[in-house]
Amino acid sequence: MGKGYQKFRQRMLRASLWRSILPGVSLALAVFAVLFVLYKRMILPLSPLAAAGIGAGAGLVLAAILFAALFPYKKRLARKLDRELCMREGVQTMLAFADRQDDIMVLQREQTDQKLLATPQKKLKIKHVWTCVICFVLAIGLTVTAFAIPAKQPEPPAPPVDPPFSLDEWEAVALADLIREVQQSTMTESAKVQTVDALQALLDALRETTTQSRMKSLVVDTVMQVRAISDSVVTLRSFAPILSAGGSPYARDLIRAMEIRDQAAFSEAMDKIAASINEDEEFDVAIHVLSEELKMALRNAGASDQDPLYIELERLANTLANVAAKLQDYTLTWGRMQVTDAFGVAYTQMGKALVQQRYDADMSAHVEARLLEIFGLSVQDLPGQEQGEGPQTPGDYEEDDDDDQTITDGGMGSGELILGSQDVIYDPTREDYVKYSEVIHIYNAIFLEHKVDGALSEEVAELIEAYFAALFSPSNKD
Amino acid sequence: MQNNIENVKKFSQQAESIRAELRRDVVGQTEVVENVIIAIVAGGNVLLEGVPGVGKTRLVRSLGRILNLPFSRIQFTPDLMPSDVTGMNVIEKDESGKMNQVFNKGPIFANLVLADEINRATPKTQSAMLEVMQEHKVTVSNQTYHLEEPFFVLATENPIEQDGTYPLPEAQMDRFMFKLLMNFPTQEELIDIVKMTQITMDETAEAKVDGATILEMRALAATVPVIDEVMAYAVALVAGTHPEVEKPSDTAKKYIKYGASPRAAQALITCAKVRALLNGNYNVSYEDIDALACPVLRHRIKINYTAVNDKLGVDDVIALLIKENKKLKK
Repeated sequence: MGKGYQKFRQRMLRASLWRSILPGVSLALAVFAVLFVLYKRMILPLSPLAAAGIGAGAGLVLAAILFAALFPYKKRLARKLDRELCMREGVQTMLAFADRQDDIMVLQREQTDQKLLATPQKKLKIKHVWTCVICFVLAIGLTVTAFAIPAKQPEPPAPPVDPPFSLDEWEAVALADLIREVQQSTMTESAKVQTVDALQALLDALRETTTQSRMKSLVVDTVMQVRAISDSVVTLRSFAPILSAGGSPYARDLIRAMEIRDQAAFSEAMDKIAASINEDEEFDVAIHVLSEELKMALRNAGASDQDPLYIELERLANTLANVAAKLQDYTLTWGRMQVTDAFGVAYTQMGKALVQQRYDADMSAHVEARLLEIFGLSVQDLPGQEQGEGPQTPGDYEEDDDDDQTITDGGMGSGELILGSQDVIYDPTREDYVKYSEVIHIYNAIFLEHKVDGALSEEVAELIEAYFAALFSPSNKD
Repeated sequence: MQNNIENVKKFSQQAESIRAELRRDVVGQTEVVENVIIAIVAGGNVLLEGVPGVGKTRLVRSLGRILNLPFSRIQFTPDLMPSDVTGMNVIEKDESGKMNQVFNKGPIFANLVLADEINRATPKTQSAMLEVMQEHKVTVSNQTYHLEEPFFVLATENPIEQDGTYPLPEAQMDRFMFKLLMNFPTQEELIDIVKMTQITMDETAEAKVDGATILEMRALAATVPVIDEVMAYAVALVAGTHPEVEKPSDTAKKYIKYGASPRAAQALITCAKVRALLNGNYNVSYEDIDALACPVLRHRIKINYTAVNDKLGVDDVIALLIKENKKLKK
């Protein structure tokens, strides 16, 4: 084929390239822009890279299809040239008889090619060029717009629906019963009054509460308030960490002994401590250190100096200090006797205080548990609570005396509320079955009440006390 | 090869020289002159229709002068016998007094023959004439006499005075390559004719080519290439004149009683090649086919009463056929 033909073929080839590349790129940009906007507006979870890939793929496919459709195949080009350049089918003839070399065909080819050479390229109209350019510009604009459109911020999760709340009769009666129970208990007066006030305030507030969230907040606040009241009167919780972290092993033994619910075991433990001190080769140092640690605990625990336990610990500390001071003037035997007496007195006096504090703690724990139960809450609803863990209890310290089986962790705190059996028993007051662990505190509190009043014989009291001690021990937890 | 290329290039020049010489004797009638030249080169015969005095005889006579070929004119009358056309054997005494049978050639024995008012002759005479036109030979008393090439017959029909005439049957009409219409000249043309003939009534055209040149031109025209699409276009045009085919054209269905024979397709292609070459082109185009459609088809198709009612002539119907066929152009 001659130069004239090649001239137009090149032009058509360039045109077909542009008319396929431009739409392909336009489609790629447009698809990317649309997908990118959908991604930014969080309508389609498709990453920009994936959008670019899809756009590029679509653009490539379109470009390939268009190029195949617009490619200047010989016959197609020949027809176009004949039609648009008025070549009188000369180009098609030239193509169809390309193999003929007779005179006529030689002349025909020459004539046709000369006509083509003499024809300016622009005479051959290329369609849709401006359409392609406009599409490309629009695609660019679309892409720029896509980048300009701000991304949608993830909407904050919808606030949980706050169901309504209305204090029903049962809840009101149960709460009133609890108040009455506390009033009739033998809690420390200050703790009792504060607890009753807190419960009454809760009842009053709940009567005007209309939402579950508010109800929950009030109940949780009251529980924490009861817990704080309990912490203020159960000073053992304050002394325990200080004495447990001290350098004197006797201080640690003392605090462990104080946590024993069983009185006999408590007494035995106190005797053992005294014996250990008396047998210590550095007797004077031992009692001096113990005295100092007791004094430090008294200073740092934050307990009132009117607190009975504080008073007894102070008495013990002073006695030990007195003995340590007078050891130079008295014999070792005298010193040991003083120590033995001091621990004996401490057992007697502390016992009462500890019993009261255990009762206060149990009653508080009962109030907490009952509050949660009445209003359908759980321990996990309390701040800082995780299942299975409770607030620091006096028993959660390093145990370095595994041999002493009588010294148990006990526990006077309001940590793990599920103590004892998970079995259910029938509660006639509620006319319903309840878990035994929910009422055990009440029973213990009632027992302690009667014990203090002297309504029980010593043997019966010991038996019942041992029973509850066994229930409250960690080994008995389900 | 160079000589051949020169001959090819010379073709259109020769054709132009023929046209130019004819214009000296024949005023106007451009299309008729063009198509007559095409028919001569293509080797076909022409049926010319025109009123008396428009220059039919002058045209053929001028052609004879230009082509330097013997010319004869046959005036057909109802009493004209076939032997008056072809010739006959006569008994002649030779110098020795012996009686011999000698064939006296008729007026048909010329290269260019004007068969004037052929429709006035009897069918027998027409048939004899047409047979010679077809075969280019005369057989008399089992003796065949070949006519010298190129042989060209220009037959005329008088469109008026149809009384007592014998219209050519369709089968005979098909033997004419073209049917051309010589219309009454325009006023300007008439003025030119009058001025010219005031000087002399004789033809003044001079010889430019000879019979051998015409034959060369004919052979050369046969080699002009035709692409398949143009061939198909021409064939579709002819096929489109038939209302009885499987998928007839709308025009044929509506206006045509019966269509053209395959000779029409042959004539279209053959003449298109000549036309292309005469115009200095070396391939056949759609335009060549369209330009020759009327001359080739107007005597080969029969329009029906619907066309007559719609005041459409045969040329109008052919124009519709061309329009309908255009969609085949690629």
